[in-house]
Amino acid sequence: MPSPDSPIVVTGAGSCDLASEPDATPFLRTRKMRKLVGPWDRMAIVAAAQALEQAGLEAPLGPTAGLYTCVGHVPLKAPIMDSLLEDSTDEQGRFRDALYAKGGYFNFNPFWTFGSLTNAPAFFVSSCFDVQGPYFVTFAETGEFYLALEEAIRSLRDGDCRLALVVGVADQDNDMVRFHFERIQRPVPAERLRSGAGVLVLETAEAAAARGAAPRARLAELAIDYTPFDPLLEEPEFDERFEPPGPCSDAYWGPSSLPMSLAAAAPGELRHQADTRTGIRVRSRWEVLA
Amino acid sequence: MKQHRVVITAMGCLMPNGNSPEEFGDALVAGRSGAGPITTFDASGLPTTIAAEVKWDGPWTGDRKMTFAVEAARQAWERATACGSEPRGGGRVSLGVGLEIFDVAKWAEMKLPDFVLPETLADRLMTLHMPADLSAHKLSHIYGLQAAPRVMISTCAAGADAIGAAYHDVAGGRQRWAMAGGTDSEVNPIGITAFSKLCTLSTQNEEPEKAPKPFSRDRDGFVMGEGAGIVILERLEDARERGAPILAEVAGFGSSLDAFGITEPHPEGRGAVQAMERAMADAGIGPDEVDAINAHATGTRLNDPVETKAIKTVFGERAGKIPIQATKSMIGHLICAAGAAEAIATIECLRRNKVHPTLNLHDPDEACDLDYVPLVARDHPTRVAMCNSFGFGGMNASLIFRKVED
Repeated sequence: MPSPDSPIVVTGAGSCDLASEPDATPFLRTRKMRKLVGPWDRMAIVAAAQALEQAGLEAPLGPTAGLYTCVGHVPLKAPIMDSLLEDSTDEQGRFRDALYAKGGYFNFNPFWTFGSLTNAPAFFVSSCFDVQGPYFVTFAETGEFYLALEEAIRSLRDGDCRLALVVGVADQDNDMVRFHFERIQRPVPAERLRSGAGVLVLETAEAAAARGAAPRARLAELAIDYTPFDPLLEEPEFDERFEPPGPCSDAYWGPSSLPMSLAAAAPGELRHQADTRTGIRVRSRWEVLA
Repeated sequence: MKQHRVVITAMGCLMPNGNSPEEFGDALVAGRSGAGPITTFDASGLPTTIAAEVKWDGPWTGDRKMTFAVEAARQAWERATACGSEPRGGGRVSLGVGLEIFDVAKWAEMKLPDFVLPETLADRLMTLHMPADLSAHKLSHIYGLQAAPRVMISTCAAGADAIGAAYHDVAGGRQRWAMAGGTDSEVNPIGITAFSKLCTLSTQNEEPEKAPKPFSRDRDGFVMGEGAGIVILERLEDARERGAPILAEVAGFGSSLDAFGITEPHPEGRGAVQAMERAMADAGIGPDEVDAINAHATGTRLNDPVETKAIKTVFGERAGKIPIQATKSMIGHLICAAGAAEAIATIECLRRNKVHPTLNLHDPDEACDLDYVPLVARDHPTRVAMCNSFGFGGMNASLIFRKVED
């Protein structure tokens, strides 16, 4: 059993952005999954594959590997939503339940359900790399990524798992997510929204040393604070900073920003801090070794 | 690392067959179904026109999910503080919350030329869909909780995962207490369509109370449910010192990933077996100490035989001697709130030394050959009960509850 204050190291980090058109097919367990995998699933799988390769690990990871995931807001494109309105609105353009049963209902493709499942990226990572250990799936922005990270660290130190994949993924190139960021109190322009995934392989320093894995980074400091707020009345201000600035400094990447930045970080120190829209204030410092 | 024993000192719920834990417990033992024709929208013409809806005429806060969560939390807090003192130290909300299904009628409205976004933040956030995490922040604000709330979105296992995470927090000394559970409502055109198209919903529309039929030969899927369940977890010593009622101990929690199919379970129930075994190991008990099981029991063709197989793997020859109850036979599937609802059902039955019936089980499937307590509740002295949630995406969670002797 590791000690409660075992140092935590990153032995692998991977990142992937949607613009690079990631191909997850080499990692899918069955051909049937090609039909089910969506953009955020593909990004998470490819980033996980990179992180595992860097950590010197490969599938099957089995029951001692845990999976800790934070996904962004649920993606959905307007043409899908539009298709459900076909023959389902009256002359004034208003939706009518009775018309929907004979119209839009039939346009609903069951695969869309999988695209809207918030735990789909976690499922695909678990399936592709046979992760069978404990898990944690949360949502939707930078602060919550830290809650997944915190839970991964707890699990490692409590001995619930020997290695933890920590995934941050957001697909923000779609109408549903753009709408969300338009309606909030301090809107985020669509041109600032980016889609990406970052995956960290975390281990205790002892576990990494025991299998001869070289740490890529060491967690030096982690802080999570929160001020409760009424979400129907106010929205805390958002501010995110990296020192030194990195690939995620000039746009909004949601929960993928920290793991993507760690994957790209040069040796030295990486500091990240964010005040988030959900009242969660986070701060971390990493010693990047290689 | 467990440093403290963790107990549940209060519960609150809005369920399809009861608007408090006591009403819910009475309805379960009496075998009263909460299923009926869908009333929240006109479902006529859809393949499924039934659901298990909450019957609520109290105040509304935000959307259905938030309203249910706020009311369930209010009940739990009222019961937890009825002894004259509040839970000690800092607390945290841990909540399984429903998927972000969108409001298709609102989408149509948004396409109209005269549509403008509402002015207030609340109205804007409720336009099209309300982000699932807002319910957890609302509870944190109402009760002034200073730890960042956990929002669990592991679909059918989310409610159990939320209670499991809260248990870890309190047992490990990171929090003195927690407010945990789940809330969900998918009884809307897109929610019903999404699950209907996956062929997971029962179409027994003529007699809603006779659906679903977990473990039956003629089972044809689940009934969509909705509601919220919230429990208050505290350290045993804190609860005793402040004179709070102790309803049950959370003795163990285990979770696992199937890593197999997004909707179909591993054929041997590998993940389910791992979750149950991890929960028992965490509780420090063996298979011979579990007196009753609350099964996930969706009533779908695939799930029920695999869950049966997994229970046999874990409990061996004893499997046939352990009474198993299927709460979904009465309240439908509450998706992200299911684990919380079923945890409350398990504790209500534990406290009453009863096992509630599995409704509509007249003709068991030959692959489902355990004791599912068909049709009528049973007296059953229970010290330890297991509660299982095995969800979409192969996410499995198992909780162990134990009576606390004085």
